[in-house]
Amino acid sequence: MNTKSLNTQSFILLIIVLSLWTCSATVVLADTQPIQEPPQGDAITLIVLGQVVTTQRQAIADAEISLLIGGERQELIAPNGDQVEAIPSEVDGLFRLVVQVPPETAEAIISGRRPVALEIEAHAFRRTRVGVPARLVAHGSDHLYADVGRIALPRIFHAAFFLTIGVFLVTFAAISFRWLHETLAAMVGATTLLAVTYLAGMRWPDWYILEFEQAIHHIDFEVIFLILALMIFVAIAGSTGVFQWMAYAAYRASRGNAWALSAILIVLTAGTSAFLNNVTIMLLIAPVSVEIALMMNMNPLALLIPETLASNIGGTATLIGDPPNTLIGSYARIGFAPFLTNLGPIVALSTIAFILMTWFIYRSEYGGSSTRVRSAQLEAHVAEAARIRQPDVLRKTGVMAAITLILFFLGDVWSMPPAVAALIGAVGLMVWVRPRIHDMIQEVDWTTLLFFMSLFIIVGALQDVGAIQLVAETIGAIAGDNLNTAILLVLWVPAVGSAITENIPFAAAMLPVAAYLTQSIPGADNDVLYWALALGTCLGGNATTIGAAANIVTAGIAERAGYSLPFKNFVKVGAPVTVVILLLCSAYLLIRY
Amino acid sequence: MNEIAPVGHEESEERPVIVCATRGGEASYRAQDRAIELALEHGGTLVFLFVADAEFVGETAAPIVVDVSSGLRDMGEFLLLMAQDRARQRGVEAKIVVRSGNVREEIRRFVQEVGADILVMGRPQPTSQQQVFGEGELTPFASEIQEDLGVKVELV
Repeated sequence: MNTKSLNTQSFILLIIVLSLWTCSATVVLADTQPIQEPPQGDAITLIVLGQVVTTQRQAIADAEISLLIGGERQELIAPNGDQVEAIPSEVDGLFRLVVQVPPETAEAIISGRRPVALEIEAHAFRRTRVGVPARLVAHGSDHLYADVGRIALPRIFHAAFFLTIGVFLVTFAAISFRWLHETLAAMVGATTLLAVTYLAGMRWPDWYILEFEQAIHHIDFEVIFLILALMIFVAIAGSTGVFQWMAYAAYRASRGNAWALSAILIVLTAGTSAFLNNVTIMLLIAPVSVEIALMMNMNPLALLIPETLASNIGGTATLIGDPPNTLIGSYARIGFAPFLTNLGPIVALSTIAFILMTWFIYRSEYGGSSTRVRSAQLEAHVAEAARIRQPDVLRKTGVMAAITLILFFLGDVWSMPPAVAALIGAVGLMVWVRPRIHDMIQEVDWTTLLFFMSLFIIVGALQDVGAIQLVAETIGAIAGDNLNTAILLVLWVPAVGSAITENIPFAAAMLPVAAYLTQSIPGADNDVLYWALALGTCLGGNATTIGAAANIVTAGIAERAGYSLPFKNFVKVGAPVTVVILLLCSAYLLIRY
Repeated sequence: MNEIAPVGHEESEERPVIVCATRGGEASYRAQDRAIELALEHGGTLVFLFVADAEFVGETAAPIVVDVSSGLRDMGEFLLLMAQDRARQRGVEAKIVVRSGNVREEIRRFVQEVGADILVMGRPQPTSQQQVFGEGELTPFASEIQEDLGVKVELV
């Protein structure tokens, strides 16, 4: 191909690109043009403003609002100048109705002889007619104006409502009882809801759940990208052997004293779990802990169980320590610093209490352990397994982690989402370390991200059909206006739920409930109910093996080492620890807030 | 790690190869003790085998972004060093081998590779929640090994 031909092709391509850009710019400009007011003349312009919300005061988008004057439906003027029978509400629930009326009609409206009413229709809500009192109608020389404020629509419980709840419960059960892999279960649930909408709901409104665009809207991509960025950090940090080194360093520091070793490991595990995914930490630290315990003639479970419980406790302290906190932070717009300042103290206190409990529970194991190792060969093996493999990478990871942490704090001031701070850190680290990018992309656990996306869709559907509202109002009725009762409910109910099921779906479903109660209960606007939810969902998982993913993987590693961890044996330790710590949390929340 | 070469038929007749598929813990000691006894009885080559099976991590949707197998292999080697120590204390020099993958497949593959004469395995504990061999599955596996590979299997 010669240069002249290449230049001609480039020129044609440029023309095409410019044409496309001009067309899209025209569309954008058309959308942003001011609403066309009707031509002036004898007609009077009536403008009615308002907002459509649920009884939880959440905006309802795409509700169809029509205007009646004296019982007669009016032709409205759409933003593009067309005449329509109804105007849809915006994403924030706001609407603006514009209609032209003759002067005599305007007079009748002002005097009240011809009442004005709005008729509102929305999926999953009862068709509602709302009168616009004449006293609300302000008038100028050529226009009338009324602001009706918020209009709350009551829900209707139709087939879609029950089906959505059914899908959620089945998905929950499939995850909890491991009928399917968690991600597959969540994807099946989300797909079922969409399929029902498009195969039945478009024809029979009672089966309408949510459309694809709404489903995508429900996905919190801040959470997705935050988890993605943190995965990259953990993958790079994990490859250096630093967590294994930490466990061995704890052993060296304790000089083989089991009491000191358990305390150090608990603090280390809790501390790292506050910033990194606790499942990964347990996967890396557990094998070395098994070796250390056996070296000291101790049952490895005496170290593994405290470590995994500590990882769940520590993960509660920050926005990024545990997925439920990440969900809460994004939903409620709570930043990194508030999480740390509100939950850090109780997590620290809980860790101290947990150390004391551990010493009591495992007193015979620790008392019977040996400070002299079985053999020098075994210790040499552990030392080799715990060696830092890539010190340079570790140094760079530490620097970028510190920068990211600073960005988290600054993000609260600059209104920068935590996901952006984490992405800056993760991408900066990748540029600096230069891992093989294909390997790094493969290291991202896409099944986890798909799980979260599917879960958001399912919980979003629950919200759209009003199921969450029902739960919220029920809990609200129980709590009444009593903030203390609400705090205890939001702390203990999710805690019990998280003990017996996966805490992430539970947290996602409880978030709108916490939001509703925060708005409706006096004194709750200090976010105390979100702190209660975080503590309940994160710490409740410590009660049983299935309550937290970290517990499951730790049990798996123990099993592979030949030390089985039956469910009831874990509960014997986990349940009392959980109850004590939740009691501490209850006192903390009631006293501090 | 003491990888061993496949043993020829003539060699195996003189020095039988005894493979003990084991983990750690007191429940495994019975199988290890039996394997040591057989090695003493027959004067054979004793090999302790650990299979690092990381399939359990796939049960959860939690992000798994690190090399789990590597840690399990290290742990397995440690457990086998302990087994090797126990054998040495009774006058038997045992070799240790760690493999990664599905436990059944790797045991079968290894037994075939080294031309094992006897395979010793421990029975699963009833309290174990994440057993490799569920109830009633170990005996058929043992029969399969015996019939397909001609290896004597002792379940302890």
